[in-house]
Amino acid sequence: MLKEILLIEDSSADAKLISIAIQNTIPNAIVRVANDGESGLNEISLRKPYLILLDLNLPKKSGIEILNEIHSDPSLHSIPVIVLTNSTSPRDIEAAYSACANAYIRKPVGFEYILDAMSVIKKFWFDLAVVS
Amino acid sequence: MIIALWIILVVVTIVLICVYVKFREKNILFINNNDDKTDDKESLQELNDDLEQLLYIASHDLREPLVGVAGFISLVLKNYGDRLGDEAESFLKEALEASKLMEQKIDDILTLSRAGKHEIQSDPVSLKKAIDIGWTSLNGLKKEKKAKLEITGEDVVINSNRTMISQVFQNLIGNAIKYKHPDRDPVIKIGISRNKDLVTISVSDNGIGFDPNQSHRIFQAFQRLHSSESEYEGTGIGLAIVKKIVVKLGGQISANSIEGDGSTFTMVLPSVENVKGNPIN
Repeated sequence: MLKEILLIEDSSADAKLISIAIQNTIPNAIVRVANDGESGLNEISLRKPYLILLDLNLPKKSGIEILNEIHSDPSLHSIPVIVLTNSTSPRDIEAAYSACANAYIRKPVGFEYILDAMSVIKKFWFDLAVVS
Repeated sequence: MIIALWIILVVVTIVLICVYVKFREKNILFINNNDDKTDDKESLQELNDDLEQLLYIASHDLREPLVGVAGFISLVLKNYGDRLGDEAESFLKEALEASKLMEQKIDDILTLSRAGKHEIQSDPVSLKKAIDIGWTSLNGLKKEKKAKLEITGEDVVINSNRTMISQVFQNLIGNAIKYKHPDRDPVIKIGISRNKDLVTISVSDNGIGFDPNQSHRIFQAFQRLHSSESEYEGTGIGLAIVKKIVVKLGGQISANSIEGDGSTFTMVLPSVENVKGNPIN
């Protein structure tokens, strides 16, 4: 059965690369892209994806705001959220985990490293972890 | 007589008033001077904070397009590499290498901007453990260049910041491996010795070394002592980070070398009993 990954990412280049990497590594996943925070949150409420890949620096609504809204909604808070961002600011990392992010990954530079990251996500979130 | 007394009283009063006015002026001047100094210090601090913030934002924003640049180049190489001619493939590989060097530079600028920015959280740190963290983080490089590490001296636990001190060892050992001599495998020797409140750590290598006349430039950001066309590729920021961290931790660092015969970096850091002091003079 296909599982839906919602990628909330405003950079179309990054969204394309990450989507291709997912298609290459997670055959039982389909990717849906939302390119701003507000549409991302609408997609989450509407479709309740299996997993969310979330950038932090987003137009309209920030990644941290999205995390807080997911966490405060009992119908959404069991969806795993993996932050995938450029920032390594201790403040962003702290804020993301405080808002209950399941993991925090820095966007890798180089397609092979993006592939590696998606393989690890597959191994953990699709093969090992039990997600409701 | 009474008139004379009145005259004396008036003169004394005038003198006292003059002295008081003069004293008050001086006092005001002194207070103003102090205010000026405080203002100068505050505005300098603000300027410094702004600069570091700017550096942080700039380096952060610069990395963003790099994900796309390096990502698509490597995607083309992966999916269409066999259909490209040899020359086109080698050009793309050069572009990919260049974008990865840029990533490294941006990361180093980020580290440099952070090194002076945050308050240090100090904990007891074992120097041998910190060396081990720095050494392990260089796994790929040390295997590729067949590097060896030898540590002499008893372990010393200093009250410091583990992440920062490990970063110092990572950069110093990384440099020692990167600037290896073409005729020999890199051997890095780290010596630890404690003298009362201070601990001296020396990091020596058998690499290419540098011109000792240039040692004043070695800790300056973006200064490279080897040509960028040479096989020794670096960002020119690693040792600036080392110096900034060591000073922030209240220590000092110096570098010596015999060109062609290796380098030695010597750090003096406050140990457990003397931790929150200013830089050692």
